[in-house]
Amino acid sequence: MTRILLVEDNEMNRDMLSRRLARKGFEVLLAIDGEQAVTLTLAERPDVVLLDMNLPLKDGWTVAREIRADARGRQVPIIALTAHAMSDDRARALAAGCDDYETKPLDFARLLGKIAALAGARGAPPP
Amino acid sequence: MTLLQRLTIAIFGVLLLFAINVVSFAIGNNTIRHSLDAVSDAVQGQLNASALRQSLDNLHKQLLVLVTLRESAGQGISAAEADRTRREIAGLRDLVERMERNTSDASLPVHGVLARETESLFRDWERLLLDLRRPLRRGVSIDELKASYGSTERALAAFEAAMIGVSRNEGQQVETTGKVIGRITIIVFLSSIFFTSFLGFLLIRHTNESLRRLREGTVRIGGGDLDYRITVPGGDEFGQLAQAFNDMSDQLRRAVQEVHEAKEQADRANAAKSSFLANMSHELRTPLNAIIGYSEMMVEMATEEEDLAAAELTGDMQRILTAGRHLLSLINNVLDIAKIETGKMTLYLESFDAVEALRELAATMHTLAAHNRNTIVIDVPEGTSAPIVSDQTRFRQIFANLLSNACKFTANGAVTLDVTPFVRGGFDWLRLRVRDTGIGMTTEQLQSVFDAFVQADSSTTKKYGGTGLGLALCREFCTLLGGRIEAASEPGRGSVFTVEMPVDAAALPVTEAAAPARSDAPAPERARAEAGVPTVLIVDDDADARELSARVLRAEGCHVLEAAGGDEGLRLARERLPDLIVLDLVMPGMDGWEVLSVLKDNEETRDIPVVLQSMLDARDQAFDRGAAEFLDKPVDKRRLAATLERLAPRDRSGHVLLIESASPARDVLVEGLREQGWYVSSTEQAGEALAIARLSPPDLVLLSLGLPGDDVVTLSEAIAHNATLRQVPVFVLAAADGEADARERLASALDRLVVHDPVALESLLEKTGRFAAEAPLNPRPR
Repeated sequence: MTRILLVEDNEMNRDMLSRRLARKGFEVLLAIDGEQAVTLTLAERPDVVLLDMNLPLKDGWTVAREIRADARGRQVPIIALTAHAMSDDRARALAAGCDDYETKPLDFARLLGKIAALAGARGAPPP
Repeated sequence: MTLLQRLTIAIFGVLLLFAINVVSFAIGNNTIRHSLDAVSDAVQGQLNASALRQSLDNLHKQLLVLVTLRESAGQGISAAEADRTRREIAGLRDLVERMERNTSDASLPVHGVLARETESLFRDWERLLLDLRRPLRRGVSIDELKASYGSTERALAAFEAAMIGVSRNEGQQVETTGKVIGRITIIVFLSSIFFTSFLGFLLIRHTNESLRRLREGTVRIGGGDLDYRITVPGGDEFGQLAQAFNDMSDQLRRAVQEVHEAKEQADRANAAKSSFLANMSHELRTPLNAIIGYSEMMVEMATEEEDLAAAELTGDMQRILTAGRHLLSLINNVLDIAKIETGKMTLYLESFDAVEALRELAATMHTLAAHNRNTIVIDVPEGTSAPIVSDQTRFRQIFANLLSNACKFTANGAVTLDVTPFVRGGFDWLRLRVRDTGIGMTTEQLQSVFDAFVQADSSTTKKYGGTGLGLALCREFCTLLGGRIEAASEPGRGSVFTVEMPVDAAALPVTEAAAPARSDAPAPERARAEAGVPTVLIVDDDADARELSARVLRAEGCHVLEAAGGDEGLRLARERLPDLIVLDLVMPGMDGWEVLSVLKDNEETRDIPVVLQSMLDARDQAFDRGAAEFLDKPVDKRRLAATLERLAPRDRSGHVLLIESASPARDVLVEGLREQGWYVSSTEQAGEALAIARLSPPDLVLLSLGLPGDDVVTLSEAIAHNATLRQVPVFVLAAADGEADARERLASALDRLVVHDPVALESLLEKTGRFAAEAPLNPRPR
């Protein structure tokens, strides 16, 4: 089963997305701030990290850089999620080490496609 | 010294030198002429002396011959011969006499000697002639004759010598004078040349140096070095030109500075708006994400699970609702800011209990407080009430914002709200404080905390979210409601937000309070002035005293201008020509007396009545100097109102009869009507209303449905049956839907009925204003 780490500080969005992913058969781990995100990624090595960029304690860009800086996190696929929709946000996310980028409100089908592509490339079986 | 002065002095110097030349020449010439006259006299004298000598010699010899002849031959002379000789002697006498004219002062004595000697010779000669005519008579001897002749000859020689001396002396004098004149002329000529060239040199050097410095300065100033100062020695035209350049560069520098600051401000505002747009996008997308996500999930669930119970969806629907409401409040905030910025914010004043409103508000925020494990404490003794006339919605919005901010930036702490009444400027105020024990703010953050679109810093947005509009709205609402808000904070210790609100916001005219940029909007103020509302200018350095007078005057329906000093007061007086000026006597800088005298000296402002206010007793002096009235400080409300009525009576457009129970809302309405120029009679009793209507028939009746008991119906029936009142339009003020019953009964009694919601004060005033404008009413004496 594909394990997804969802990093989201907004309670409602965390609840919504985690439940929708669970309904699609993913195992969902949750982190509510940047520090938890780094710790959990390195410890659990999920198949995909869905990373909100506006986070308390440590923002998403810092989180992505720290994960990439550690040998354990170098291979973990990260999809950046952000409610910012400015044109340079995508470039900034990719520069920080993210593999892909999605804006909120999310297109859930497209997100699933991206998760499948990234998790599949890494050899994890689709759900 | 100016250039003109330098040139003038140079020209005068040269002219002076020429004058010396001319004078010396004239004096020398005169001297030479005198000398030449003397020489010519002396020469004439010599010639005369020579002729005299010749004649004397001839005559002497002739007489000697005659004497010899007589002695030897005893022969006398004939009478004719004697006569001829006498005439010759007389001619010689004349010659000697004429020779006196050839003498100068110095040679006059010599001539005297000569005259004496010749005279004695001539007498001897005449005696001799008598002797010679009488034979044998012997008188003058030859020896005597020779001696006499000899002394005469010596005197003549002395005279000749004197004449020669004179002509030699005068000749020398002419020579000397000529030389002196020549020297003086040369010296003056040379010094003129030297003096002129020296002055010219100085002038050219100074001009060149000044021009060089000016050129250098203009090049540097033109090159952008606006701090450069041109220094030109002396206060002449070049110095003035340099000063003008320096002033110009000063002004340029100030202008550049201003432009620079304006640009920076615009950049900051622009950056703030950009970051606001980015934040706003984020803030709107976050709840939208939840709404769309939950909705999609519910659709999925509804299609996939056939036996889905509606109850299973309730939680998610609730979440969608919450997110939707959050979204709405964000959009409303943006709209509120936009309304305030365009001056379109309308206030609805009503009477409510501030403490009760705050308690209700706190109760709705418990979930939010619990999120960060905070507690909200209303620190007011149980049973306390604080009635206030204000806009309840905006009032709640202010404190909802402050409380939610406090909860957001505090964790595991307390948010305390307290309320203290106080009095300022004779009016009741409430001080409401929201204190938290949260993260606090630095001094820099405090400075821009109330600016729209700015949060403490961008990292705050990342950490805590928010649009940065909340506190800006709080400040705008506080200002609109006649109050103010201040923040104090210490990083790590928490923040205190203090709101001060007038207990009766109605004491401020609604229209003015709703226009945030009233000082920048002169056009509506002029329009008001034209509508017959008197404009009163208050000049007082004490803000509280000014506020007190302003409130009294506004309550009387005046348009009030305020100035905090004499200069500003004079400026406003000239620009706006108010109908009345209330002037404080003791002010720093320009005091009341000075302002008064300037006002009275100026033709435009001379006729504006001035009311002097002071704690000093200066009544007599005030009237002497042209004040229309003198009032003691502190200001007595009734006396000021009476003075206003006397000096600037309002132009009443008509009589409105207001029948409503007494309340702050009624007072607001009365004030608004008075501002429109209505003469307002207000009563809450039907009987009294009818009595007023009989005494002074109204042009408009405003009837409230909120009157107790059957009064409304009784009154409306009375109106319907009264011949005069039947013609008068009636605006009925309905308070709530619950009074539909009364409204119906009223409709049956009155055929013309205009129902109006009293809360919408502004739109009611708009109607009464239009009514007054469309049906011009006869102005009545009060």
